Amino acid sequence: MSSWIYIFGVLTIAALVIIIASGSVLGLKGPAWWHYTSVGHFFNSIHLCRSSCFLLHGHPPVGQVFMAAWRGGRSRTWMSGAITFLISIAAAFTGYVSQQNFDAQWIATQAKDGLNSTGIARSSTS
Amino acid sequence: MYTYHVLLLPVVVIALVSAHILLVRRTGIVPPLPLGELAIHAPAADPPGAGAPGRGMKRRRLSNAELNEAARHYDGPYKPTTDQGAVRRDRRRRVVGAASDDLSLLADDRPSTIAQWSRQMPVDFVTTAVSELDGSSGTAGYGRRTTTTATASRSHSSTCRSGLA
Repeated sequence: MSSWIYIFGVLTIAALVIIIASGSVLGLKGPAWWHYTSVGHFFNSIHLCRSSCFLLHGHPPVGQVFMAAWRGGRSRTWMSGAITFLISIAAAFTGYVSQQNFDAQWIATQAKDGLNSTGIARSSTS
Repeated sequence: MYTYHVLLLPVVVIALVSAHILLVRRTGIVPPLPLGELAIHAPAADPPGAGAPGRGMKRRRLSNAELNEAARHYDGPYKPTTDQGAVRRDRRRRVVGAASDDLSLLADDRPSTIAQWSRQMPVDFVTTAVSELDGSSGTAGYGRRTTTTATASRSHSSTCRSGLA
């Protein structure tokens, strides 16, 4: 048995491999490299592009819940994928504030305001 | 936040993705949804003038239980081979019986068309078309009326009276 929609799962895994590889290089070289060199810019862009692909291709497998993908003892399979998707969103947001430039500072203050407004980060309200 | 991004969250994501892949490998992908509303075709003898051979199909409906059982065991169109996996699948297909055979046919089946209907059952086709066009069929109209003109005018006048009062 086969189904074409599972190609999105394979694309998501492929994106994750590239994210980890490019992220490892970025982490080893440091912010001065990814901000001020052309090769660093390239790896930075690869990392951002594959992160977008990871979340984009992660949507259809999560949406398979509407195709009753939990049947036949597959509920844990779907739930593990859905939780992975949610955690990857958090990982992407922490990536935005890890850029170490003014963009990251701006996003951090906006995110702090947003979280404060929901009452999640009460200890840091001012 | 940097530690979350480069260490903690990636470790969690990799662990969950590994578990997810193992679960997919263990249970396989989910079978098709129940096909209760889908008409299953079986080959029938072509009537004279029915067009190309193989286009004449006779509709037959299976019960939901039969279709669910067939879908659980459906492995795609039948391909005879000598490997053991295929032998097991063939045995399973024989257990499921006719329902599975019908699903195998479904994979390469041609759709029924209005032209085919009009050729094979011209009287039924014309009768249905006329009943749809003159509004006498059960599906051609707007259904049973829920209000009449008399009650509508009564409620309108009572509303006006209460408004004036």
